[in-house]
Amino acid sequence: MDFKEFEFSVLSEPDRESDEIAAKAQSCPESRALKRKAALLEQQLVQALGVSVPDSLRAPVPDMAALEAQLDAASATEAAQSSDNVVPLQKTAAAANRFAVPAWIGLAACLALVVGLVLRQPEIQTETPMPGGEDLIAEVIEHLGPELESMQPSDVSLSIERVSNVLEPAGARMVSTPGPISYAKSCVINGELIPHLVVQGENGPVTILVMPNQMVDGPMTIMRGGFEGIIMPAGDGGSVAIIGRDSASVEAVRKASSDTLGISI
Amino acid sequence: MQRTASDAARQRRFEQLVGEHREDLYRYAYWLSRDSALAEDVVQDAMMRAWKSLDSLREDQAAKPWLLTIVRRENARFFERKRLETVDIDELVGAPTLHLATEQDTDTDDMRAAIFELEPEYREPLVLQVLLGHSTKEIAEIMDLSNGAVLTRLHRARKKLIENFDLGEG
Repeated sequence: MDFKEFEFSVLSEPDRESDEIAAKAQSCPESRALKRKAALLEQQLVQALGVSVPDSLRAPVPDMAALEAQLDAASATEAAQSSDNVVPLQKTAAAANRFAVPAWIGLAACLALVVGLVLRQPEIQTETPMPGGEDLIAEVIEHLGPELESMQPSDVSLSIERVSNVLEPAGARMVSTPGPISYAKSCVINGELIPHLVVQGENGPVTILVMPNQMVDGPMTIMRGGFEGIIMPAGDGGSVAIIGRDSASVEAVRKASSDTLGISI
Repeated sequence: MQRTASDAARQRRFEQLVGEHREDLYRYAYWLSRDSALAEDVVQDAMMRAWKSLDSLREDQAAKPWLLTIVRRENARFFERKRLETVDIDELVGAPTLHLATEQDTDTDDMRAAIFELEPEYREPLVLQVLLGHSTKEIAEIMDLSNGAVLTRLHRARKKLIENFDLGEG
């Protein structure tokens, strides 16, 4: 064991003892000095990290069901009083009704909140024609086919920075997520660079495609090629596709979120 | 609201699993956020999130890392919200408040300042190892890193502290 190896071992796992470490410390004054320094550092660290806990967290655990009910009531009140530049749940649901896709009405509205992606007006307008309707669904499904591997259950949880880097070029930002995001890449749909995310929901992975310039007239259901989901209007002239392998996985993502968010317009 | 036997059992399970870890959760949140009030909020929010998803915890012995992961995400969510509200995070945590369990002294204050100056990716594994007693493998799972990456971060964290802090050994 050379000094570098000794240093790495002592500074990464100071409590770890081995014959090799002991022998090196015995035979090398520099190593011995480092080990002494590391021991002093640990004492200082333990003292410095010892933070006292506020009384609220020493008190008995509150009645969580009652607390949950209180918070839900407060959220409902807050949502009812939300500002005018945020589309409330009911408003989106009403819009969905007009297009007669009842099975997805509630889901669409809630998922918009769950996903929490806020689209802003893109700085550069694309001249790509808006395909709308069936063409966009076909394009989305065609895109998802080769990307199926990303839609697997995963323990990966990408950092906010990494996800933000993917969202930013599309003029989108993450407000909240109902679960870990295991996949975030920029993909091309209809010639437009779009963020492609996979959220690990309680009942399975759900894919989210943020399409700032792919306008749709209203919510459109997707039930094709083993996929279920919806494409819904979002932002100013854009849309978001939310797609799972079955409705349960999509529904689970909705349920997992208690955040009250909206899509800005 | 009428409380059912099942509600009561769920509450009891929650108390058993979460109650004993609340102090550790707070300390972890504190060193992530570097602010005592924020840490308290993060832990309260994390507890509610844990309550809502309690049924997803299959093995009770995995409660602590499960809870730490929830706190970690809540903290990230909080900072993301703050970022979107255009609050200057540096300003927000610029004057951290400390509640030391031990008697304050200059060395402890200096060490605290040195820890605060560590980048979050170095500070977090150090807290998990020194304060919460987690193994390298457990830290790797909580932070979603490889064992090697955890060891490297721990090594760098201590090296920085030794370089920036006078350990007073003469």
